Amino acid sequence: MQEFEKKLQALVPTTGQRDQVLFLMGQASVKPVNRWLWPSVSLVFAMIALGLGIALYWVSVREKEVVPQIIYVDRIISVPATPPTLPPSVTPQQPESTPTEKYPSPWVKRDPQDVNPMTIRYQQIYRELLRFGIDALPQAPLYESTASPVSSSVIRQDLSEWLGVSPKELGIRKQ
Amino acid sequence: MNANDATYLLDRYQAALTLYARQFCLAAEDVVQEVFVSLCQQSTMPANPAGWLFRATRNRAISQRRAEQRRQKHEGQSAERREWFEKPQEGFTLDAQSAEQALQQLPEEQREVIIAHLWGGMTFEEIAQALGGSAATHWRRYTNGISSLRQTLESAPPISQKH
Repeated sequence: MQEFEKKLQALVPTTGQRDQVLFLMGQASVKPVNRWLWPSVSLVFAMIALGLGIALYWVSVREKEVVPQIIYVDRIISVPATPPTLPPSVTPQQPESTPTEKYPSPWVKRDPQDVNPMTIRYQQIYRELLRFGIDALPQAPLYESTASPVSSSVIRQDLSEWLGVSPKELGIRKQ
Repeated sequence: MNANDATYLLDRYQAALTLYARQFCLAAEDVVQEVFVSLCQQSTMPANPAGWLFRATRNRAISQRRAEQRRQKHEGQSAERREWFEKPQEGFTLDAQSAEQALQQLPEEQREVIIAHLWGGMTFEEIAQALGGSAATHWRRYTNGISSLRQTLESAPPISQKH
C-alpha cells in the first residue's frame, strides 16, 4: 500500500498563478488605519448636504404658498400719566400771604397736628354764619369801660376780612 | 504574518488546496486565492494554519459549488473544466487522467481525506480537527479509499492509452 501511495503522491496537482496570489496576499496583509474614517466622513457630509437640500426645497415651497396680508390690530395701551413739567421760569409763585391763609378755609385738609382749639372754634362759627346769617354770631366780648366803643363799620370790616367774604354776602346793612 | 510564512504556506499548500477544492467546485483556483487572502487578513495567525486553510477551503468551495449550480441552472452553461493533475513525466506508472477519474468515483468523505493526507501532508489528527470527527474515522476512510483507488487503477488500463 505504501508504494501505491507514493505513486499517487507523485502526481502533481494543477495550481493557479502563484505570483498573483502572493501579490494579493501582500495587499490584503496591509491593514489601513481607520479604514472607515473617510467613508464615514463622506457619508456624514452627504447626509448634511441632503438635509440642507431638503430644507431649501421646503423653504422655497412655503415661500410660494405665503400670500401677503395686512391685519390691523386695535390695542388699548395704558400709559402712566406723568405730570407736565413746566420750565422753572413758568412755575407760578405763590404769594407769600393771602387773606385766606391767614384765615384758612375750613374745607382745606390740614395736618391734624396743626389744628388747635381756636381753629376749630373758628370753623364752627364760620359754618353757623353761612347757615344762619349774622345772627348766629356770638356775643361780642364786652370792652372795658375805658375803651372806646367799637363802631359797627369796624366790626363789619373786621368780620369781612376774617371770613374772606364781602359785606353784602354777610347780609350786613349799612346803618 | 510575515512574508516568509506566507510564501511557505503558499508553496506548501496551494497545490493540495487547489486539488482539495477541485473536488467540490470548478473555480478551485479562485477559492484557494480567496482563502489565502483571507488568511492574511486575520488579526492573529491560526494555531494550526494547515487545518485552518483546509477548513476554509472546504467551506468556500462548497459555497462556490452552490453558486455554480445556481448559475448552471439559470444560464445553462458551466465554467471551463481543468485537469486535476499535471501531465506526468515519461516513465511514470500512474496515469493522471485515470487517477483523476478514480478519485472522482470515490465517495466525498474518502476523497477529501486522501487529498488532505497525501497531498496536504496532514496527519489524521489534524484532519479530524479541520473537518470534524475522529482521527480513527478518517484513517478508516483513508484506507478504504486507497484500496478502492488501487483496485481501480491497477485493474483498468490507463485512459491515455485508450485514445
